[in-house]
Amino acid sequence: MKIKDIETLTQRWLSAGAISSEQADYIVADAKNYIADKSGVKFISAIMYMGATALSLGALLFIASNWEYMGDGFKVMLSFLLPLIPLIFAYWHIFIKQTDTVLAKAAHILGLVLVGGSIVLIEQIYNLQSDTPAVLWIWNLLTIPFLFIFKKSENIVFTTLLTGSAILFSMFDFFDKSRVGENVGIVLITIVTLLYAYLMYTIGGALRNVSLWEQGGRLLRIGGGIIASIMLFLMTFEWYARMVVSSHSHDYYRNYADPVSWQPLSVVLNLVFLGFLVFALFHATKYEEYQFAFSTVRLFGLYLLVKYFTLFYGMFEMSLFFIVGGILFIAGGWFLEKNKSVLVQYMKNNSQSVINNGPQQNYGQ
Amino acid sequence: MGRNKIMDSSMKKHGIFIGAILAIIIVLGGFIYTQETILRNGETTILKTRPVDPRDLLRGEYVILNYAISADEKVQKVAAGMPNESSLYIMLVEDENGIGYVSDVSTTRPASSKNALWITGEVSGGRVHLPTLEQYFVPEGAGYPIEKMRDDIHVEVVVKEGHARVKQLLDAQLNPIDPKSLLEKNK
Repeated sequence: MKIKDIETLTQRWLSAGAISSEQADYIVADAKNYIADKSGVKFISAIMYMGATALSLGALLFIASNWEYMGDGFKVMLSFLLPLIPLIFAYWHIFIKQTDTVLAKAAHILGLVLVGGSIVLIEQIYNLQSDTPAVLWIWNLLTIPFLFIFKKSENIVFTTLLTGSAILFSMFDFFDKSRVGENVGIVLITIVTLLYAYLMYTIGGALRNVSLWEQGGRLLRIGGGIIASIMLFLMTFEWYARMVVSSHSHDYYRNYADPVSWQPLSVVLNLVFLGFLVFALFHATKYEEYQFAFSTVRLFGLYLLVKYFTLFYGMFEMSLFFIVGGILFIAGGWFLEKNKSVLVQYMKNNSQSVINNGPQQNYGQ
Repeated sequence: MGRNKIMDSSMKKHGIFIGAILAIIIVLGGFIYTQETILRNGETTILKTRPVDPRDLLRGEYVILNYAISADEKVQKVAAGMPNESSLYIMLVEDENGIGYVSDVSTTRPASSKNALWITGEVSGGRVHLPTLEQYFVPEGAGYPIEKMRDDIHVEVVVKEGHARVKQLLDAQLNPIDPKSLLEKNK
């Protein structure tokens, strides 16, 4: 919430006689301090993570460029020490010294990144060809225990990204070796991505009421929702339906071009996307993820925009195209605005029921 | 009681952390041990090669090495009919200079023998690849001078029960090439 919103709210409470002017001053002052502290920490964290990434990349590039000048023993020792030093430093800071500083957090991420760096470095020392999927899986397996040790949201993001990359690269490798057709490959990738998004959402949902993992669970749920919505949005395009119908057919070109074969599927995929948006909107408001709820409304607007240009461009004359487009966009804007008010009203009602029934009603769902 | 519980949980956490660190050491150490075993206990031979296409990737600069034994007629003939990812065993015989040439090719793994020198190849697209020998990392800027030497390059490799690793690059007179010296010459 912005400080201006808090000032408006306190003024409203003050006018309603709900709080005194001292309380209003205290709320605004405290909110200012809190927001300043929070933004400061966020900024420092961002700088630290950027630093950790730059440092790990720099260390690896320095070693890669100068490896010829280092003795073999030194290189082997480096490959061990690279990840261990930052991980031990982070553990000592967080659990022994009990100081959960941003530096310790950055060191633990640096250590996790450098586990992968060490594997690549050893491959380089022995002139081995890199097997990317194997490297990603080994890296993932070696860093998963730290997820349960540090229990940080950053670990969840790191492991989710690494697992996703490992799955994706394993699929590319499988397609390459088994010579699967490009379109079959794309269809399989979309299915696996949707399953992965579902898994993220399910795990995130299971962690909803676990206090230590609450924030990480939220990131998983939102991440899963974002991945699924992007993927389902891409699947609404005509080329995707054409590709699916032609991927398992011997008469590839006929099926690709024949509207009778791909149009029903395209309609189904568009309906699935719209159904998903309704589902996402419902769940986002149910669990008070208002930012995500508004994002789904915006995505719906983008969907309308894209569909207008892709579906009607060839059907109308240029002038008619813009006139109809203009009317549609104004109507669409009005519709979205109206939906936003409905959504805001729904959120208000939802918050009211939470106030009336007590906060535990909302968490237990 | 409560204090004991906290101590237990803390000890458990220390245990998991030490276990995770040990897992990293064991996996990386095992990886290094496998490579070192081949390099220290294997037989040494020399293979004729032609370096091509120096690459500059995040991992640093390296040259891709194409081996004469991969292009050998006997090897290509056997590989042509084999499915992808299957293994092919190239038996080598050395000439008076210690350079290895193809003596025989087999699709079945040869019996271990002290005198037999053989390399395992991998078939891909009807061609034979030697995945553990085909790249050699060099200091930045040394890839191109090595590529310019073209037909004058040999590679000293160490082979143990079919597993081969690059030891060093050799010139036409079979003297070791120091990539650092090439770099200095080109400055």
